[in-house]
Amino acid sequence: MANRVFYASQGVSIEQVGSLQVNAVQGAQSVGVQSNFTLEQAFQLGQLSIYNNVVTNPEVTVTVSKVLDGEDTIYKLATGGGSLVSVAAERTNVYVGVGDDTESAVNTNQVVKMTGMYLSSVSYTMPTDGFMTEEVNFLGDDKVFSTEPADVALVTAPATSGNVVLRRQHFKTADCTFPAAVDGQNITNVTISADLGREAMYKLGQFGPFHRFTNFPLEVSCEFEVSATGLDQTNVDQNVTCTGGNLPEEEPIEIVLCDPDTGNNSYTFNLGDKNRLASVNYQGGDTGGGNATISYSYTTYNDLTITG
Amino acid sequence: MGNRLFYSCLGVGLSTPNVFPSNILTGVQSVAITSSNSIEYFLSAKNTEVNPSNGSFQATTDVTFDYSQIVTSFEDLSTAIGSNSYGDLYMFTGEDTEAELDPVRYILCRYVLLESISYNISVDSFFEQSKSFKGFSRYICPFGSFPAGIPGEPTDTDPDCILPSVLKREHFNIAGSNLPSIVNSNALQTIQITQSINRTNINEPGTKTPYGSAVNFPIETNITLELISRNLDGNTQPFQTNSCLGNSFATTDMEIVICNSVCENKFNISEAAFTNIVYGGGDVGGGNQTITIEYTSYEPLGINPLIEFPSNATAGCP
Repeated sequence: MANRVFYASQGVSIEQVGSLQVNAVQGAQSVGVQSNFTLEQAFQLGQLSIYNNVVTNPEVTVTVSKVLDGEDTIYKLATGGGSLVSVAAERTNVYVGVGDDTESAVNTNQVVKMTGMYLSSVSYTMPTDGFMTEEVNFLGDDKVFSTEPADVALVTAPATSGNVVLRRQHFKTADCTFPAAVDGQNITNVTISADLGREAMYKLGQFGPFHRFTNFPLEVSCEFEVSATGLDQTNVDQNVTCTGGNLPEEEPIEIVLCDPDTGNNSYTFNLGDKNRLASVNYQGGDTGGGNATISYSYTTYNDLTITG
Repeated sequence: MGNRLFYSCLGVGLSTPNVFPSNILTGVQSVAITSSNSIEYFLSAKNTEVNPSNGSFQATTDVTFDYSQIVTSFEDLSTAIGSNSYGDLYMFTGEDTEAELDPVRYILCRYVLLESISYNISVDSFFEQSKSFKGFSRYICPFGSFPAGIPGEPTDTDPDCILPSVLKREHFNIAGSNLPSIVNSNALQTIQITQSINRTNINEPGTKTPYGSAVNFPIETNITLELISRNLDGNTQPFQTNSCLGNSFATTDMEIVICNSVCENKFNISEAAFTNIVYGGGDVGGGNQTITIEYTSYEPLGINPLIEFPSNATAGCP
């Protein structure tokens, strides 16, 4: 029996339901599994103590993060990729396995199978310091622990050769489409995120939910952090007339990362044409000696296509 | 004297007249007593004053007693206390420092009649029953007038059917139930059933106590089904083209079954007529479209048309 579980002795695999293909997540950085048992108490007149303590809506949340390395994203492995709206009904099986801590690569001897999971949220971070990362949350209702050989075989060690983790030089600025306020600035961080919500739908006669729907409209946000070379030039103008005023316009945003082997486009994040500036935050440059930064947050709805 | 009254120091009892209840009702969630006086006054010539001392004020008292209760079964309306005979209702109160109700005093509503009984079966709450009674008397009594000791809880006598104390959505036997076909293609969320007995007191000269209570037929049983829409309802109401023909209209029988064949409890509704269907929701706020469909049945359910007020009725605290 292992003395501990650390990064080399655990692994995660993902299977898009219906694809019959189980893929080990390459470049995985962390995996977390949380099981929640929502309780509802019934009391009654005449006594303080609980009349009944009932488990109502148990659910499982899985969080997987990986570095962007030119390989398929967790999003693509889980849903087949494409726009968020088109994959909203896709289901995913997530398998987390652990093995002995004496092996140099995971040799799974026990596994937790989370089947029929729904994509709950996605987040991509592209900093100047560190690796570009992806974090995906799944939400579902089924979790089974197993040591059966057939189940254990679902989690294998990922491939190790030929992986180049994306860093700041792989940000293909020339092919990106930036909002006007950000264009030409020294971008130090880009974060793209979307939360699908996933509200459970129940029906009489069945304990588990029959579906978890995406709570449209689905907000997609994109935040750019730039190193300030001057003040932010975004005016806040209340002088808006019938025909318009000086308010932020709808703008397209597309972020492109390059393939470290070929230089071609590797990952593309297209947020459509209706992104609008939601906030601008100028801060820093204080007596601590740090530099001032400006953060521009853009918001759109129901529009995010991820390829790569 | 306590600082307040909350759920732990309240209790409800229900019994036939002049019989102390053998137990406090279990699973009671809420209780409310409303007493109202309908004032009738008259004025006479040259006198603008309404003077209670000369009888120019007349008051008729109505007492309404409502409570809701987590239940595990349906109740036969014809045998329920208060439907075909009078009942006594008790609301016990105790000190707020006790972990269990230790009654100190109680409100006694004598000779009440059942006005309505409702059931709520929902995906996200406990199976609940609500009852509403009506009477015309209310007494504040000290506990101890009857043999001392807190009434106990009833015990489950059926060894083959050990139900949980509370029922939730998984205990609804949708496969064993007989419901309209619209349920098959949509996601059933809530079933609400209300049976109402509308009564009129029959008065007689010489006393303010009614001679009896007459039921205003028909007895209405209303069933409301709320569903999350996945398909349309399939209900067609064609335009009437022939003056001699009406829309075809058929009633339906329904059966609502709780739990399995060992522990099942059934609620039957005969000759239910479809009365209403509403589509709502599904708006740009992102919520789901819902269908609310209502049926009404007018079966007499074994309710007697008249209940005579007992000639040897007991007033006051016991």
